[in-house]
Amino acid sequence: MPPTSSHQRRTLLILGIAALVAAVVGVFVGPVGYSPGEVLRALLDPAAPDAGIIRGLRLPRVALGFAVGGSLAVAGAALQAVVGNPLAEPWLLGLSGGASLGAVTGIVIGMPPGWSVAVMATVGALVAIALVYRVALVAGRRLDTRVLLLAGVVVGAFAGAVSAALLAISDPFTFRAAALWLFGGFAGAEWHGTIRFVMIATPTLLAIGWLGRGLDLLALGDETAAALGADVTRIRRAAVLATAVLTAATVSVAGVIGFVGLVVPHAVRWRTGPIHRRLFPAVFLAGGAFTVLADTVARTVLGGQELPVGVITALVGVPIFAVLLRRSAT
Amino acid sequence: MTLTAVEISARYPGQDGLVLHAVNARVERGEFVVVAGPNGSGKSTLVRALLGLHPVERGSVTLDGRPLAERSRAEIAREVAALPQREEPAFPLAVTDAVMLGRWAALGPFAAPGARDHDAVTRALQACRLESLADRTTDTLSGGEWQRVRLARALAAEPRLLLLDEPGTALDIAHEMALYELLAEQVAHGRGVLAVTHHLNAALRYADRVLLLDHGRVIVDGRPADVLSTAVLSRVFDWPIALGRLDDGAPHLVPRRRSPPPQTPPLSGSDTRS
Repeated sequence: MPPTSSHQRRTLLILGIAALVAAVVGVFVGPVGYSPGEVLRALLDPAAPDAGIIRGLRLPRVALGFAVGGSLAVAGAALQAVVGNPLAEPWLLGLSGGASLGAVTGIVIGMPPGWSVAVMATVGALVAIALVYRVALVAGRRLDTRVLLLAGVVVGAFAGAVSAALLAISDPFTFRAAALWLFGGFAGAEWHGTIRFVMIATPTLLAIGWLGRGLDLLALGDETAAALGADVTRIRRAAVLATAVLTAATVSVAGVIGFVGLVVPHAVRWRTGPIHRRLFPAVFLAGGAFTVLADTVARTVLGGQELPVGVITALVGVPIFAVLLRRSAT
Repeated sequence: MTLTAVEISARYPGQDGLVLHAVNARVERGEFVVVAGPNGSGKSTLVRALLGLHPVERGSVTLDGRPLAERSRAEIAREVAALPQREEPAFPLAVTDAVMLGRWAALGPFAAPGARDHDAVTRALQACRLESLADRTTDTLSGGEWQRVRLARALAAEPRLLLLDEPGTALDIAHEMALYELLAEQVAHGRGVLAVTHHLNAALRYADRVLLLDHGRVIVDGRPADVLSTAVLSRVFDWPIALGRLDDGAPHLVPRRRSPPPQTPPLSGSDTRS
């Protein structure tokens, strides 16, 4: 379908409504079975008996889930253009694994959770992507995106193994604290962490948005992009740096959550087309809504026990991805 | 506006031998240059070097006397538009979006397209007779339609020079000739065109100059009628080639058989005995 401005406005309106619905569901539904009236009262009155749970736990959890999900989806969309392959995403390129290893290392050596762990996660993600590029460039003198993805999987697996080894030799208290970064989830969400995340994610998302026109060209392949006037190396470096920082920020507050960055851009691009100034806002809304709904399922489906949100995103994401892949192949 | 390569030598990364040996090449506004030669003769490398996309070991490539190395990619793209040989977009695009990407260098990396850019895209779509396909996505186009979209993208940049690497590949006779007619129109409007092709008979109808490459060296460079001969063509392509002239004087190549033609049996069903 040709993307006209009215088509784009309609898409954003639909996704905006979906995001609002997801947020309402996320706040009103939980393992503690409050009635809608009780939730509403708690939202309006800080002194209400249930205000602590609703305002202190559910609200920041929904806000963080939305911001992290939207960020992961934007990071995935950007990476797919950077490597010219719709299968790319932060987890597959080793960014999440590296960030997770950075965060786990920070926890194991006794760093307090917060900014220092976020910095460690960023360092881990940057080291991982540098390694991925190094491995991919050794394999072939010109960068082959398929080799890059394989290198990403290998580096991600290595980072996962080192994280597991670090946890195995750490004390049980550290293990509990660091397990979040291996399994992913929003159980630890609170306002300070949410605000910290938004402070990192906002400028990074704006930077990725600014790079959108360059990414439009990168998705055509390096040769065509350069012929059309793009400084391919500079745009790619800036985009990889920004997505690494963004991924690390998500990992430092919510651990590794796969498939959001893979499935959401794929599904949204089908409606908006691949031009990034139209794709990014829609992808952010859809990623946020998807993740909030997945988290609501994760914390309610087993009653009192909580599933890692990554399990839900994978259970939903893999079949959708399979369908989209089949549709794109025919 | 002249794009000039002076005595350029280049090699593929990681390989010992040179792919271009002290090659001189030039294209300027208002002329149609055809680059031909056998597979592996360095045609595509020459185009990439002229665009500043392939490193040159010796010699220099200049645009209006200034080395390409001193210009930014966007600066080069505003003057010289290119049609690379191969292109695999990661995602299907709406045709108008694909053509608008030709405005990238004019817009810079951050600005959104304005009225002038939309006008340029409309003109490019009209020039390539793509108005009826404007609402389609690129994954639904035939090979010929996709090639026209890529050409429209190059024209949307409103460049002074056009460099095309095998633009007629995957096109049938009518579409290929229509493409050359379109390129000739661009030349008539003052643009310069340099096209690499294996389809010499079509290209030579329009060429002001032909540059024949073999093993990375320029064998001839001049008016087709002056520089092409049976001997030169047969030697370069390592195959017996006859050379004829069409009514308009354009050279016309006919590759000969090396093996003797088989005896033609009488057509079955034809009544030759009665």
